[in-house]
Amino acid sequence: MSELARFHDDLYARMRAQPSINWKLLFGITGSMTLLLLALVIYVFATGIGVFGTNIPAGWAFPIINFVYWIGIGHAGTFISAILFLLEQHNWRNPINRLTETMTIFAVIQAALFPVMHLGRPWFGYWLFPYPDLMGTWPQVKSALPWDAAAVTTYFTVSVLFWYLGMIPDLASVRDHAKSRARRIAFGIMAMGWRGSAKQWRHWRVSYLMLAAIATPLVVSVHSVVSSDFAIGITPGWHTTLQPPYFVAGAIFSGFAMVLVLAIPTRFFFRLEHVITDRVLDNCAKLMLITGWVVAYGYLMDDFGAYYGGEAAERTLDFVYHPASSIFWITMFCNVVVPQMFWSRRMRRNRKVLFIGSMAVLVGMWGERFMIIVEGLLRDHMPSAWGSYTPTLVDIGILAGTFGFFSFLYLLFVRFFPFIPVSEIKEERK
Amino acid sequence: MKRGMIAEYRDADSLLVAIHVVRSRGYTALEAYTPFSVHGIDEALGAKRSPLSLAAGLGAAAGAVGAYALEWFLVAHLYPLTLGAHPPHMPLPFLIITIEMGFLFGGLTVFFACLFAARLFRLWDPVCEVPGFESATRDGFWLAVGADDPKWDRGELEGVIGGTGPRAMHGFGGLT
Amino acid sequence: MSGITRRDLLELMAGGIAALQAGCLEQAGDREIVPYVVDPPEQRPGVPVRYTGLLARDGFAAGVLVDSNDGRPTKLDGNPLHPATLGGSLPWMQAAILDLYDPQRLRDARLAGDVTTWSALAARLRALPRGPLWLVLPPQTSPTAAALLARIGARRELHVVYHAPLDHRAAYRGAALVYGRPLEAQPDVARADVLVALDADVLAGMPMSAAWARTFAGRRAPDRRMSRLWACEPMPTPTGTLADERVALRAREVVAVATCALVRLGELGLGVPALQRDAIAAASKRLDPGVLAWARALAEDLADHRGAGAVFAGDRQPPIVHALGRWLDAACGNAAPSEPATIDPLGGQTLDDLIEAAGRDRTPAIVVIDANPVATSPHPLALTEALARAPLSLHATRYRDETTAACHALVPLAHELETWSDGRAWTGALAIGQPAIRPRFDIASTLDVLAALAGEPRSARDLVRAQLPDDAHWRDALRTGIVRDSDAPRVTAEPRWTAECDTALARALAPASEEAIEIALAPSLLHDGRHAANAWLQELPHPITKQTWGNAALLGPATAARLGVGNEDVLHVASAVGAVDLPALIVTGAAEGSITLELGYGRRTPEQPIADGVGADAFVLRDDDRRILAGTATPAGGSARIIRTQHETDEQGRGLAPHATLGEFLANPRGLAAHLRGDQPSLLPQISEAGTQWGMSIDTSLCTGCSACMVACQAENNIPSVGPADVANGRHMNWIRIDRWLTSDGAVINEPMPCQHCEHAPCEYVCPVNATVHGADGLNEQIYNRCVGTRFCSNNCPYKVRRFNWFAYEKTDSASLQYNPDVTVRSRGVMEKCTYCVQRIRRAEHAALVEDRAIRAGEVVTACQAACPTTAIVFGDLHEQGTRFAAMRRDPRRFSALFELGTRPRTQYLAKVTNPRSKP
Repeated sequence: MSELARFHDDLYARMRAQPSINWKLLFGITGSMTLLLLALVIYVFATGIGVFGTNIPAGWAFPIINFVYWIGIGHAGTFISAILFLLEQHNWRNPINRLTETMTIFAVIQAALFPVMHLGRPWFGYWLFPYPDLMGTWPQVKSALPWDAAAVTTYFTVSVLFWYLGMIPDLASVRDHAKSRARRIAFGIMAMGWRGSAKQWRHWRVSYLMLAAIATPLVVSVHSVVSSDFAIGITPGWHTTLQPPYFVAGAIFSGFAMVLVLAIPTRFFFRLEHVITDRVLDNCAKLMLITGWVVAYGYLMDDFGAYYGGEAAERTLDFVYHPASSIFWITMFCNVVVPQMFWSRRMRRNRKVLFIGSMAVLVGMWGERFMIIVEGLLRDHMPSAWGSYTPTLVDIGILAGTFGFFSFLYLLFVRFFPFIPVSEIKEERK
Repeated sequence: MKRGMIAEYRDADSLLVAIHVVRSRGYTALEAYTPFSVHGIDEALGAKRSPLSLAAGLGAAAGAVGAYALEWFLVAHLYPLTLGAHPPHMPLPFLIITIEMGFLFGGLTVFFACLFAARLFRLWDPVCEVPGFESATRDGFWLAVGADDPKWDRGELEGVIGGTGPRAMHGFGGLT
Repeated sequence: MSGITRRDLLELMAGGIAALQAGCLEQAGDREIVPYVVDPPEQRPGVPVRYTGLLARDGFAAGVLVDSNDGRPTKLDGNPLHPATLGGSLPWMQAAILDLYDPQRLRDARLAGDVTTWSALAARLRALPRGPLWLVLPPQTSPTAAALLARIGARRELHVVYHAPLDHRAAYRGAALVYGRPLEAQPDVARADVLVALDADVLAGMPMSAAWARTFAGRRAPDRRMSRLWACEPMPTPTGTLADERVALRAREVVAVATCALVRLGELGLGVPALQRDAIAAASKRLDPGVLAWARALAEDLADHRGAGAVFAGDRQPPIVHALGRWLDAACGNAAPSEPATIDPLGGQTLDDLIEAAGRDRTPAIVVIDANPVATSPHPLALTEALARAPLSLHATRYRDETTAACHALVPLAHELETWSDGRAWTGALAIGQPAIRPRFDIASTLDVLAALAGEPRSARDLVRAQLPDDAHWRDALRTGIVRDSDAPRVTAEPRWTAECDTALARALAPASEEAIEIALAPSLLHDGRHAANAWLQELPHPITKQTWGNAALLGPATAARLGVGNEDVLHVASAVGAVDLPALIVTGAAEGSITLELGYGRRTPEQPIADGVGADAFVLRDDDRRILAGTATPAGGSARIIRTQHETDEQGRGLAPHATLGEFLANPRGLAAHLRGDQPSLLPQISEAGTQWGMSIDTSLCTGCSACMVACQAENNIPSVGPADVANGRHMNWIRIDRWLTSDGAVINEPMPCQHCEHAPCEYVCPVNATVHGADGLNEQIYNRCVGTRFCSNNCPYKVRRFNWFAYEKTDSASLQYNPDVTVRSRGVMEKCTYCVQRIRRAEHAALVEDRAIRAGEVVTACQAACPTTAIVFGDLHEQGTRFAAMRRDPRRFSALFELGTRPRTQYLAKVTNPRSKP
């Protein structure tokens, strides 16, 4: 047996192995959370979005925070698979690119739930897309929301295409070496007749490159467009040209945190330390440090802009004395203080520290979204309309439910699919 | 490639050498099967560059132009409304969906063009019947010569391929 | 007849005829329903018919116009010809229409718990065995009721209790002290250069407030004719908000202010009585030097404008304050009083008499009409027992309430719009109330019950008709809503100062215990609790505190600090006889050492879920009819939520509350708010201003904050009430709200805030589905059936005037009969907001189209504008010439709210100008 065959068989054996964790329990927990999400979504649809804590002035709160948050999580996946591909960082990109692309898709699915669910009349959500109707009316494309619809649809579609195209050779490999007939048929269909011919590789390689070239500006544009939901508004704290880069950096920041949160246990339980090496994690941590600093610069510029712009409402929007100032302090701690430990190589190589630090960043970035979206609304131009916001159990349940659903999908994927891009790693080994 | 001869090699380099040898004998209907994308194989086979980058560009351009035209037609022409004193036709906001649709249609075009160009809708191929061909997605590097080759000469070919040191050699598509 | 158009008159005539028919209708039964073959002339589908009607509170009548759509009254407005409204209205008048359809109303007559009919009960009343009869009913001004009472009295032993927990008796007693009999003060507000409110909510809390506010507003243009309003009060009121000179004063010190003012008038050489030296000394000792100077300045101002002053004393004040008020007026030669409108104003028995009589062996029959004495009397338990023990106790009421539980027989009481009635306004002017709808249940009116007791076979309509000499008068009265020349005659009576006055003054000025805190009881938006089942009034933000769905212990900041409580900390307020726990609410401008508790909350009526248990009942603190008590307040520990719609009263330098004194304004008229108007530079193209361009101007100098506009808007535009939980979460639905700004220099500015209809509307361009767009006539239009509910528009509205249907708020019970058919009922999940009453605009456009003419200036009147008692809100076309609106658009006081945002709002404001004497 050739060395390549041994390597190949070993990787697939590890991916197919029963991981050293109570798999059924994990499925049970995340599956129940998914059911909770489903039940709550039905409840919201049946009752009305008054079951959320949103109000006037806080017309957008948990659902939109979660939307922005989950979209942001997705960004690291595309960043790793597309941008690092173009930059030819294959050696640390390849081991985690499938995982992170998958994370992107599942995160965007969570995100996509919210713009529909938060609508007053969700059953008319399709009105944001141009379709010929009897009233002769069309989407109003000067609003940022159709931009959002276009960007998120594009992002999801292109991410799925990119992910799927990249996975075809490995799907064919599973097909060819599957033990059961059902698995062979299922993967046979999914692999779509991939035989690894030079012609297929030729077209595949160009297409993959093209998709990477499209995904790269796309990933930058998506969160820029999402940020314009706020930047085109005149609400204090929203109305600033700072938003697009600030959002993109924050998205990649939180995305890398999620990558680490997923990759560390995955490599541990599937014993893939030799593939997803310490160096891979180290590089992720470095990128977190960099984007963390961009985000911190964003906080600084936000305050400077408010001060320098001189507008009363912007100046009054003081996070420190805001009713929700605790969120501000949590955000500052998690997003600015915690990442500083990644200056140290020892910390970057300590998987526990990495994991906890990444969790903190995930919390902090959620807090940042809260800060941006809600706190400006609560301290709008009209002081008489200043209000407060408290999330309901439904809000919290749905947020928890999306984490459950996300994890559930992720577990399903790693259980049944080749989550390490074996063919690309084989190519790189050579 | 419906019928022909196929041989398996131990590694990519042996495959590349074999391709060189077979081609030097004037055979042109060649195809290689590899578990990963082998660098230099297209040059060895004398294949032309894939035109799919052009497809991506065209798709993106069509998507973008179509999107802007649709926006203009619907919002500025068919149903113009005054909104916050904004004029019906405003290039800047229109551009955002334009760009996104460029990405979307570029991506869709290149993906489906790839499926088409790489014949990825064909689940079965005669080579699949070759015993041990599943190694093409594991560690086997395969070279096939089609029977439709104008220089097709079974006997000569067996000699040529045999001289390149294959792991195995078979006929396929009804040939033995 | 000036002020009423030909069109109105035709509608009124039609109304009269229709109403005559309505009065003769039979009882409902199984009958076929067939469509009209020929429509009755007054019924045009889709076109509301307007009738005159009459509302009354504690006897005092308020004439209204009733808009009726296909037989359903849907909207009330003040009758411009009626002296108590002059076309304006107050929240309770606007809200009365909701009561008509209230699903909580009592539907069936009952005897001992069993369903019966009114006619069966009426037969029992006619055949009531001999013996004493006790009647408990509100004070009456109705001549028909007076006649019936006289006839009942002739038939049997009759004791009448005129029960009004917030009665007007102190004013009559005060007048009696001065004139020897209970006369009614008749201030001439139109001529008044100086108005003095002695703890009196002249502009929003008195029976004549709608009319007085309107006449007062006529003298508030910032020029040399501008009147001056002086007010002293323990707690800010709408009147205090507009006062040019205001002091916060404990209610029990008001007598000292009146005394010192009268003394000062004497010093100025006016004819005043010689008060006892002790009294004068005590009065000046009771007041802070600043307040004393204020009282003396007030007197000087009155003296400077002899014959053109008006002094008002609040009903809460003891008779001696009213007596002093009459003296202040008389000394200055101000308008003379008149005979009172109320029947037997100082007569009748009290509830205590009733309890005592029931306790004796002579068992009386008790009939309670349109009153809830168990909830409002100082001795509810004894009264309950008396009612239960009486051989017959009958309660004619619109709701099951605290009193019904104790009564044997129940009669559903008619709403004013379901029955014939008559009543007098404060001025004595008589008006006839006609039914505007056939009753939905088997009901009886006050007159019906009295007629049954009097053995009177004639119907209420015939009885009321008999008050007028002939058909011409009758028709005219129905058409115009007022009986001509029926004002009570003015009385030229010489005021006297008797020993009784001295005694009363000495008692009122007697020093009070310094430990005791003053408890001032005040009427609320629910008045004495009678409107507690009205969701509109429960949800209407308090004009001062913006509290909804409950009451609070209102107190000044220093008092709160002394007691160690902050907002929402529960305070245990106790008087000699009772105690109540309420959350504290600190009010800027409140007098220290005084706690104001508003009445009408804390009802215990499980059958009225809207009223039940909302707030706390402050009636338990009183032992008699006094409303200024002494007591204690201690923190009870814990806190309770106060639901408010506005928390921040500092405008934070956003340019929302420009203001000046008259002197400052006249010195530099263009300087006031000059930085807050004009057009901000913009990259956007100029919007077309061709054709009619609607706009609104609101004069903050005139807004009292009374909130009638908010209820009017709610009635006109089918705006739902959402309940306390949603209001607490910022989900109240009012399309127009009144912002109350307190500036650092002590000014108070009420700023009604409807949709601003911005030309550069930030809400429009962010809507992804074109659900909010700009109309050619300048309206910011909201298209409900296009809205998907992203709420981006609301987020981007700097004025935060957009409202969202978080749940399916629309009414499906009988209250939905009140819906205005011209206004879409919004479904769950859509955004809504002020439309400038677009349905009224379209109606005017249609009328203009049919008549082939342009829309006339002033033809479109929005609901808020129509309701506003001070005419602060004016609507019109920007191209109008020569109208008040046109003048307001050029007024040097004009400004745009949040001007710096460049939204170019169509709703403009006029800055507030006050006319203080101390700072000219």
